[in-house]
Amino acid sequence: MRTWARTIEWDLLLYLLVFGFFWYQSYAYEGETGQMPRLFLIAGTAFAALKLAIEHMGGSIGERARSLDASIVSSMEGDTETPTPETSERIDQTTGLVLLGGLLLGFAAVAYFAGFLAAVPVFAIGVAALLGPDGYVRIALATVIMILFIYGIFGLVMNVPVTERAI
Amino acid sequence: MIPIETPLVTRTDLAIEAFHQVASIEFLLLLVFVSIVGIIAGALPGVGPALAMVLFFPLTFTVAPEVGLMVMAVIFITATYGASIPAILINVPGSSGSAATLLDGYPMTQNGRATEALGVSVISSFIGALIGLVGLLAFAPTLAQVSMYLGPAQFFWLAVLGLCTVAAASRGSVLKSLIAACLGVLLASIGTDPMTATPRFTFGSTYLEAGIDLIVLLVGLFAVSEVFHLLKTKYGGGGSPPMEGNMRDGVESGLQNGRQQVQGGLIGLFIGAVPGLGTGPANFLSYLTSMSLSSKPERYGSGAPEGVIAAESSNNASAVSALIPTITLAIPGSPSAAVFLGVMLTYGVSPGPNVFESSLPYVIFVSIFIGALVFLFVGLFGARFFSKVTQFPQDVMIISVTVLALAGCFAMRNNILDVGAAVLIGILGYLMRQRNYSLIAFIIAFILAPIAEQGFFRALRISGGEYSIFVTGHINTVLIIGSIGILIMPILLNRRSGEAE
Repeated sequence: MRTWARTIEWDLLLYLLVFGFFWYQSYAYEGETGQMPRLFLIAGTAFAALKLAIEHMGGSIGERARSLDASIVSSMEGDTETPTPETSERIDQTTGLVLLGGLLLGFAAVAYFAGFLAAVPVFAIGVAALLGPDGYVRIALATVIMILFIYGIFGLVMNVPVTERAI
Repeated sequence: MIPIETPLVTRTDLAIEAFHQVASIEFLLLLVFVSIVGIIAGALPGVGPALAMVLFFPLTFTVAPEVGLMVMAVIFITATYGASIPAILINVPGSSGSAATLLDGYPMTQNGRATEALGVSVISSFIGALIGLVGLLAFAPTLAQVSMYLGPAQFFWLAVLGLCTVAAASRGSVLKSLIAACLGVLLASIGTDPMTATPRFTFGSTYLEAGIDLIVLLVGLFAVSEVFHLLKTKYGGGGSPPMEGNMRDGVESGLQNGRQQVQGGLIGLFIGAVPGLGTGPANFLSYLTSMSLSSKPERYGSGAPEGVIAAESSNNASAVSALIPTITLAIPGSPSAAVFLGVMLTYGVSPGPNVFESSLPYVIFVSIFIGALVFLFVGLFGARFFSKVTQFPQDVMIISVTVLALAGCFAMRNNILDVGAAVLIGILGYLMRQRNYSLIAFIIAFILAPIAEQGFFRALRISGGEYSIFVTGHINTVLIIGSIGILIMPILLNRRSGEAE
């Protein structure tokens, strides 16, 4: 049997926290500046609290509330079904996704400290390390093409400072 | 009322005269070349029609004003179409006007129907551009006058009408969609308050004072979060889907859905003619209207050609109709139209009611028509080659999508911090997708919240604090009834489907 702690919707708690924090912050702005965001922050807090309550409501009332909350369309846009991996593969998948998140944040950090163009090979090396040795050659080729393309179109034609670092 | 009245017969004569001016071999070759460049520029994420025109403008200084305007008009329309190509193929919108295109265009690609999706897109874009042109030619003065009746109160209700579609756009849980919409409003609130110029939720950061750019948000939500999805697919053992469907299927599908084409075109025509709204809201409002009126709304978001049709016909029509207030009243209907206005003024062409008495605006219209013909041709014959992108290995796709999308973000404002913001928004977008929060609701709220806020407070200032300004007049009444209708429609449909079961 699943415990309450395991079934709790952590995302809803996070929303409550974020909306509540900004709701409190909105009182720092007088007059028109704070009014519109405050209205939606109050609404957001109420929706998140209501959703949390509905999710944990038992009996026929809870069932009815969940049915009312369900829209006529049940699938999610942009989401496509992927095969469900085995447990060990799922752990690999989660680790992979976390590592990719780290790589993307690393891309942004390198771009900030060393310039956008410098971040491209660093990111490519990271992706190659993450995905294994099968595609080293084509990844190297794709990286060179991307660097030349970004430098030519964005750097030379559009004057975007792709080689400059922020600090 | 602005006294703009040129008889339709005279306007047709001037259009024919303009056609003769443009229809020389040298000009046609030039326009074909420029069209191809415009499509490529539009297909680059973050470039879009406005930036494409700005980049091309210095190259036209040495030519005659008519030729310069021709070139800029062609860049304008072809870049608008070009933005749909990356949206369909790699889930990265070339500009904000193609944001709704990817909602069904990319799922079609994921299902192996990329060529078909490109076919639907090109025919819908062409029809949308034609509807925009016909509207421009036949109703420009009238539409310009009508758009002048829309004040801040009507802008507020238009935005409310759009926000009400959040309920219609919900997938899964309605409450989760509303939460996503509130998060969208919160993100849109970050930056300098448009009414009082007070920094809001910036925590002392100068970067946040400029607010979060729409392209940064779109790249993060769709492109960066898609990179996670690509990795997940690879771990799941999935690969590129087999190619199904062809260009002919796409064109046929586009032509068979005439109602969606005309509906999207007319929504685009009207929204585009309203200064300050632009192609982004037109794109989404058309998509959501089509979904709300569809007998099978559950198909939207999973690769329905009707979704691509609604989005593409409206954004091209709105791009063209944004020129209506630009040319007739010198009030740009969109950022791209603002650049076009600058171009016109630089060439010494004064926009205004009398501009339709010369053949110059008709030269612009004919150029747009030729640009539309070229993108139709390039789109029809090039789609087979463009769609090969989807067969690239996933590791190459992960690198190229990330680098290209983030470069587009960076190019928007030359601010490297936009790259970091896109990555963070991408992680947020991926988590939202995983937990079934509606990204459409999130984006709609982000786009419409500033319009609603400015409309609301400007209207109150005009009325001296009287709230009756929001309920006075026929346009307000129609918009209020429309909003209520859209809000209760999902409930009625839910009940109807329940009764049917």
